[in-house]
Amino acid sequence: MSEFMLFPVLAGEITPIVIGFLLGILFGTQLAGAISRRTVILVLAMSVVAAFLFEAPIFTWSLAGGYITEGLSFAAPFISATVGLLVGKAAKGGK
Amino acid sequence: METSELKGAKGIVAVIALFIIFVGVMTSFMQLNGNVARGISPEYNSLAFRQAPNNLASWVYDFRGFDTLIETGVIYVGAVVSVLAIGRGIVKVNGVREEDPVPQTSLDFKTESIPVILKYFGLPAIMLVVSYGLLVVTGASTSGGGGFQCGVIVSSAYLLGMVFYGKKNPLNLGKKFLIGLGSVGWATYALCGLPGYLTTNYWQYNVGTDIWSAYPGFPGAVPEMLRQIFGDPFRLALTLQEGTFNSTAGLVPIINLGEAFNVIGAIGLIFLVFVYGWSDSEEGKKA
Repeated sequence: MSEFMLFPVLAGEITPIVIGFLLGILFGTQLAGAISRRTVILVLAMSVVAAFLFEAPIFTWSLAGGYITEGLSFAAPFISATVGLLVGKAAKGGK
Repeated sequence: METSELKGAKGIVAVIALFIIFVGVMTSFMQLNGNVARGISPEYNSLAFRQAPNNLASWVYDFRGFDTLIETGVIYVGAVVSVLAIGRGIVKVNGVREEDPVPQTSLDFKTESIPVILKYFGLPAIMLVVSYGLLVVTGASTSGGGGFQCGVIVSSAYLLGMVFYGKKNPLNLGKKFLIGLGSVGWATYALCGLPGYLTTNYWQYNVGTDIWSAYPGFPGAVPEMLRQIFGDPFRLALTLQEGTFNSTAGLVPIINLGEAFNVIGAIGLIFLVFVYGWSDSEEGKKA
C-alpha cells in the first residue's frame, strides 16, 4: 500500500478529516473577540507545520488523507480542525 | 521528611511496612517463572487483524464498556462540588444575583500588562491547542489518542485563555455550552450501547466491527446494514505481514467523541466555576 494514491481506498482516511472540520466549526463558534488577518495566516501556517510534525494517521495511504510518501505526510485532521475553527468563527460573525 | 522523624513508633511502623512490601514484591518475582496468566489476551490477539489499528482502544472498550463513562461521572461530581463550594450558585441563588460570586482581582489580567509574546501569540496558541485536541480525538482508533485526552487538551486551551486574558477569554465556553456539550457526550456514550443490545443482547457490543459473531454460540446477529453504518466510515486498510485487511474500529471513534464532549463539559465547568464563579442569573455566559 505504499504506492501513490490520490483518493482513499477506504472511508476511514477521510472521516477523521470531516469530523475534525465539524468539531472545529463547533468550537469556532465559541471564539470571541477579533481575529486579524495576520493571526489567521499565522494560525494556518502553524497548523501546516504542526500537521507535518504529527504526520498522517497510521494506515493512511492516500494524498487526500494527508499521505504523500514514506516519511512525508500531514495530519490532515489537524489542518481541517483549524480551518473549521476559522470557519466557525466567521460563521458566528464579528471581526 | 527528615529521617529523625522516623524515630520511635513511626520508625517501627515504617520498617515493618517496608519489610512487608519487600517480601511481597520478592515473592511475586520468585513465583513468576513464566507463569503469567495471559487471561483473555490470546483470544483478542487472534482477532487483532479484524479490529482497528489501535487494538488496545478497541479491546478496552470491548472489555470495560462503561468504565470510562463512569470515570467521567466522577469528574462531574467534582464539578458539582466545585459549584457548591466555590460557585455559591446553588447554595445561595438569590444572593448571587446581587453580588459578584467570586472577586475577579488576581486573575483579571489586563492585556496591556501581559508580555507582548502572550498578547500576540495567546490566541493562535489557544486555537492550535484546540486543533490538537480535535486531532487527538479523531485519531482515537489509529493512534494513542482518545476522548479523555482530547477533553483534557481542549480544557487546557480554555484554561490557557483564562490565564492569558482573564474575563476576555477568546475561547468563550459559556455555562450553557459546557452543560450542553457534557449532556450530548453522556447521551452519545450511553446510547451507543443500544444497537448492540437490540441485535445481540450485549449492551455496547461493537456492531460496526462485529468480531464475536464468528464464534459459535454467540447470541444474535448484527444486520449487514448496521455493520455498514457504524463500520464503514472508519474502515482502513491495515497492511500487515500477514496481508492487507480492511478493518474498522466500528463504534470506538463515536464513543471517543462522546467521551471527549463529556470531559470538556466536566473539566470546563470546574475551570469556569473556579475562575469565574457560578451565576444562575446569566445564561450561557461567564458569571
